[in-house]
Amino acid sequence: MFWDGFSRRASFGEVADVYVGSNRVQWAGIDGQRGYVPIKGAGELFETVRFALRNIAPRRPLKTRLWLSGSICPAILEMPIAGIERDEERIRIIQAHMVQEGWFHEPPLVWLEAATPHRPRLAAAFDGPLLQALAKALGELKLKVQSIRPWWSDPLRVFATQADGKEARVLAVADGDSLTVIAGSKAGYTRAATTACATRDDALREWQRLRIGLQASPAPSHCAWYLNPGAADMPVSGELAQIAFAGCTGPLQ
Amino acid sequence: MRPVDVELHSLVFHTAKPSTPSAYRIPVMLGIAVMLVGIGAGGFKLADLNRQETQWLVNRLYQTTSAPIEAAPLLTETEARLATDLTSLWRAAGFPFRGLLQALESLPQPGVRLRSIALDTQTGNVSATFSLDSAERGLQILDQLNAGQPAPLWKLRDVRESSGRFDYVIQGEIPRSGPE
Repeated sequence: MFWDGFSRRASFGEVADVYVGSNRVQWAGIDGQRGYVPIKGAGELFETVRFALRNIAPRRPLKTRLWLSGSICPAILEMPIAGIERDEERIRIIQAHMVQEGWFHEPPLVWLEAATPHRPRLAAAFDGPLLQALAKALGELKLKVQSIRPWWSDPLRVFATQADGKEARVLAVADGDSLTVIAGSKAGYTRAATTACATRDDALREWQRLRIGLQASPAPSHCAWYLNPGAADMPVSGELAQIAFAGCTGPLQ
Repeated sequence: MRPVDVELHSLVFHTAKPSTPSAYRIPVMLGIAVMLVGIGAGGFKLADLNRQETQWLVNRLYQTTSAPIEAAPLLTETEARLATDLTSLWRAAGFPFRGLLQALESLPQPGVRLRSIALDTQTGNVSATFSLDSAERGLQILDQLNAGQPAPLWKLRDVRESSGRFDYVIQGEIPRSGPE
């Protein structure tokens, strides 16, 4: 199955997509335009997004999906801890962990998968005030933010829907500034982690490291790589050479 | 895998409703305070009962297990050291070095250097460090070592990069055929 999120949405001309990573902002479907602008430093993210989109603001208000890279919204697996039942406590533990790991300076907001008793749960952390400011800035440019999701969540949705049930599967999403690996089966998620990777070689190396921890040793056909569409400036080598560019996604052969 | 919708919009723009003062606030708070006092008093009573019950159980257990236990003879320090040395020698003799050498000799890859091997004869674990000229070659080595095995015996433990070369630390478990 061919999946190309950006071009499919752009063709409808109803909803625009804006991807925000730590090193680039990318857009598609704003009056038929698509493109990207690199972000030089971490402190310039907000200003770069606003400056880049000001020049291409649509003539009429447009609904926008805001997509976040793994570095801005990392995936986490929340493990059940005996004696901690309430979601508020679990979220506080994740917040402390993410600050300790250096992902965020302040405790982030946390999205937590719906309750599944005694099973690990998928979680995502993000900087709430930053996203509020981004959404406000987009709104001033007639881009009304309809949804905010991490980039890895859309491949995960497609991948989980296609999963045939019993087998353990592994999804690896390289989105240009990070590598997110999510493993699981029908019973639930067994692993979820995001690692910052500036280049594809870094992503390849991290993938090799993470494979160590995947006890199920999944067959290659059960792994999939998804790339950030339009990331054609990234070199192809080795194992990643099997992946097509420009939004083409699919299982690793 | 369960499909999930990681939608953050509602979290980002979630605003808690401001608490509005209510005419019923004071009576409700008083009611809650009375209930808490009642629960607390009941809790003290229960705790006292539990304490008495626990003491009774401890007394019963002490009566049934208070028989004297004879101390087991201990090895002297020299005997213990000698026993450990003999065990390690015995384990080393049973280690399948032939299998290890065959596995490592079957890697005639250009650009691959075996830098070090560490053996643990007690567990059967082998840790080998290879120096490679490209990152992809590490996986080729792993595949070659695990070729023909029903389950992978060798796993990648670490990757380090230094001046364009990659150090791959690969750890394997050599199946034993000798005595334990």
